[in-house]
Amino acid sequence: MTGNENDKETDRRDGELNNGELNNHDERNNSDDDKDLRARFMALRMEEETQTPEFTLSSMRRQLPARRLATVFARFGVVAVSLAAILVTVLWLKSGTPRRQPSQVASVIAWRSPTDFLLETPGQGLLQTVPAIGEWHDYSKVAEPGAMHSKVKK
Amino acid sequence: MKQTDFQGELGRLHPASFGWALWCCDHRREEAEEVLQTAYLKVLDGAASFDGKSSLRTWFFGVIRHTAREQRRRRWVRDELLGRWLAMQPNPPSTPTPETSASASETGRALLQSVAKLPRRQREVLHLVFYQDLTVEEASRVLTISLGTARTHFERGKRRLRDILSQTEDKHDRQ
Repeated sequence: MTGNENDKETDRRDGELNNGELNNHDERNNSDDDKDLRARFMALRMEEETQTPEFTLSSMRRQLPARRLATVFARFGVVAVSLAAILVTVLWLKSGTPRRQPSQVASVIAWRSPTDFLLETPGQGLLQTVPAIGEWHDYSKVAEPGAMHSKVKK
Repeated sequence: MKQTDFQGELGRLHPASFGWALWCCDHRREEAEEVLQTAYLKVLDGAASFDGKSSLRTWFFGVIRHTAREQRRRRWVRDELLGRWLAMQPNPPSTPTPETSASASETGRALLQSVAKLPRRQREVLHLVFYQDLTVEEASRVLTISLGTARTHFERGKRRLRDILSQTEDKHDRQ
C-alpha cells in the first residue's frame, strides 16, 4: 500500500469516526477557544490583503492565444522527444546485435555430436549396401539377430 | 452565469483568492501570483469550467489548490531531480518560509511560523475556516475530502496550533 493510499485509508477511518462524534459540531466554530485563533487569522488576512496584486483579467485574455500555442508546442515537443528516444533505442539495439561470420556458420553445419556413434546399430553397413546377384558375401560375419537374446529365459 | 458577472465575481474574490494561493504556495509570493494567474488562465481557456454544483468560491479555491499542486510537482522535478543531477548540490529547504512575506507583523509572523509546523491538510483546513471564513463542510469540498475527515483535521490542527502558539509565547516571555 502506498503512502497516498495509507493517507486516504486514515482519512476514511477518521471520517467514519467523526461523522458520528461531531455531528453537533458548530460549523463556524465560534466557541470562545476558537475566537482567539480566528482573530489571529483575521489580523493576518488584513495584512495580506494589502499586498494583493491588481486583478487584471483583461491583460490575461491577451496572453490566451500565446498560452494555447505554447501548449500545442509543448505537446508536439513531448511527442517528438518520445519518438526520437524510441528511434535511438531501436537503432542502438540493432547496432549492438553481433553479425554472424560465414566461417562460424560453416562450422555449425559441420558439427557432429560426440555421442553420434551410439546411433550406429550393428549390421548397419549390411543394410546400407545392396548385394549383387552372384557375388558371394560372408554373412557369417554378421551377428545373428537373435544371438543377443539367446540367454533370456522364456 | 453571464461572462461579465462571472468575471465580476472573480474580481470580488480576488483578494481572498490571492490569500488562498499564498497559503497553497507556503507564502512564496511570486509563486502564488503565478499560480493565481495560471488559475485565471485555466478559467478563461475553458480548461476549468464552473458547473454550478458548489459555490463559485469553493470551486475556484479548488482550481487554485489543484494548480498549486501541479506547480509544486513541477518545481520538485526541476529542483530535486534535475538540480541534484546537474549540480550535485544539496537540495534547498522545502519547509515553508513565512519569512518571505517580509511585511507581516510580529504576531502575523509568529502565527505563520506556528502554522508552518502543522501538516499541510491541517494548515489548509484551518486557513479555509478561520481565514476565509468558510464552514468545515465548504472546506471539505475545496479539499475534496469527506466532511468527517475535514473535521478531524480541523480539531487536531486547532489543538496542535494552540500548543505550538503557547510554547512560543512561553519562550518569548522567558526571554
